[in-house]
Amino acid sequence: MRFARKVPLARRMALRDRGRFLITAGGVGFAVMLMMFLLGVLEGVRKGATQYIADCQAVIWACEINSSNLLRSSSFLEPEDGRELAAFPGVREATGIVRVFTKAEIHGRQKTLLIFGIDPTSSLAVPSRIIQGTQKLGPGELILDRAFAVKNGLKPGDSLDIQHRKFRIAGVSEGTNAVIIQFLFGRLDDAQELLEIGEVVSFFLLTVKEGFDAAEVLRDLKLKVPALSFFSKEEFIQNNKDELKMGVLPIFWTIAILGSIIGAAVIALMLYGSVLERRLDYALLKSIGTPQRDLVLLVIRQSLLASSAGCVFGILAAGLLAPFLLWLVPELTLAIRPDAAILILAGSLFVGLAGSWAPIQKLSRIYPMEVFRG
Amino acid sequence: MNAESYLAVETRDLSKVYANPSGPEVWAVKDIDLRIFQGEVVMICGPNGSGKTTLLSLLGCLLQPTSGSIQILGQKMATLSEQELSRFRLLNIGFVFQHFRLFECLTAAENVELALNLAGVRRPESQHRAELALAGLGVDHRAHFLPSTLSGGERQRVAIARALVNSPGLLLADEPTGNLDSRAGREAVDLLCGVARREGQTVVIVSHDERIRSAADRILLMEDGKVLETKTKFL
Repeated sequence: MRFARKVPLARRMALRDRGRFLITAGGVGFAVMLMMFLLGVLEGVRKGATQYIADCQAVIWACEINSSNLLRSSSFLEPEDGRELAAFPGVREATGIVRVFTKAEIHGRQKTLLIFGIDPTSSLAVPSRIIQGTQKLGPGELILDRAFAVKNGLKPGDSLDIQHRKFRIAGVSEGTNAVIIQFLFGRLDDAQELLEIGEVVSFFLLTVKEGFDAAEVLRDLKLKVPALSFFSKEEFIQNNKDELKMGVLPIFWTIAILGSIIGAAVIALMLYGSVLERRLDYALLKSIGTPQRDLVLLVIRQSLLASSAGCVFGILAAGLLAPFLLWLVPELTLAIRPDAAILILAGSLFVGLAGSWAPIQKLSRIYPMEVFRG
Repeated sequence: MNAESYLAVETRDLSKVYANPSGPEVWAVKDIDLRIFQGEVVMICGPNGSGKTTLLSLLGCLLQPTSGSIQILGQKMATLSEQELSRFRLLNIGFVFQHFRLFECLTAAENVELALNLAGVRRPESQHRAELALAGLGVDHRAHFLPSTLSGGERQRVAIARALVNSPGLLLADEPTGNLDSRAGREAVDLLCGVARREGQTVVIVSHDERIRSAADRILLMEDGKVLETKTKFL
């Protein structure tokens, strides 16, 4: 074990007033916890919104030109498009799904639903992570996302009135929660009936025949079927992530910046008060010849100590409180990654540095002669 | 070697004037010519407001004079930058204060060690030297106690150990007995002067305390910023 080579003055000064230190670290910790949850939610949204696409067996997604994602673009494709795609060289199967936004009254409250109508005879579009009930959809049946089911107190066997039609809940799925909205699945014909636009679908999901390269089939589709847009699974996942980023990231950054300012302000206030309170100690240090650089480092070390302690507290608190948060808000999907903790630690250290600026300015206005004051 | 080479402190026409927004400017120190020799113990006495602490601050390079010059241990202060003055204080001047000015969050030994660390001495050598300094002042048994648990006399000894630990050429003490009872005050000054004499260090003490006058080789009486009278022990 290597011991410190100098008297740990910064640590002792910071910890001398434990109450003040705890309040500061706590303030930073809460800001860090907020960041952790934000990053966790952001990652959860990204995963939740794309997990279904990742789980699907389809390797190519086809949609209307200028449409690029599952959530925030419109796409209407005719049945003939599907037949053309199914006959395209190298394509083994092309199955349509239709996206329907509708409303239902659940326990007396109007809820927005996003229903994907899927072909029950194909396994391509069926959600693969069924945690309750069945994957097989009969007429008038639905599979609900887990968060949607928990939030609304629904389970397999229950029924749901949608546009004056009664639907029975057949199963509950996971990996189908985009946080802002959850995915429900019904039969294609039921969804088309709700949409009231005939046999139109939103997307075609394609697989390729054995012996064919998906990338080559995709390239050929893009060349020979210019009326439609085609994406590989990876591209389609990325499109959806990018779409979410555009919607969520500005909010995230606003909150992150506000959190950082709060953290820096808490540290600055604590240290500023501490410098004022201990101005005779700082005057003494100046009088006995402490180099200015060492004085600045003394303040910065105290600041970094408070910010890093707050950061550790915040990360631990986020880990401990995450299950409670998920219980409280079932539609949330939290995915806290280790690199998020590293990013937040780096951010906290920056906040610590920023928070020490004002106290350092104050320090420069303390005169060594003050040490003679009573 | 001439007498100049034995000079620890020399001031010429040293003055410090403070601006006073509500009246005429205040001459805290006025035209002081002072010569203090190496190894000498000088006490500065005088009523409140006579300029004693200002003079001590000037000698400690904590204040810039308005006019005149100061030379300490052969170094002209006017030629040094702020940074160089700090370094000069660190290595050449030790301070003892009326209110001890120990860090309450550090033990007695760490308070002494801090001065060594600032001068670039690292552990474990700094720990060893701090304990030796405390032993020299008879408080090594209290080395690992916080100042709040020490008596006034013990605190002042720790403060003296801190002032002496870097072996400065000049020791400046501001009312070192001001917060001590007569016995502890006498002991503290005897220790301070005893160690300084052994090491050939120069001591300047500002004090009201009549009881410790006998420790000084020379007594300067100040009033209205001027040295009115000088008394030498043997005269």
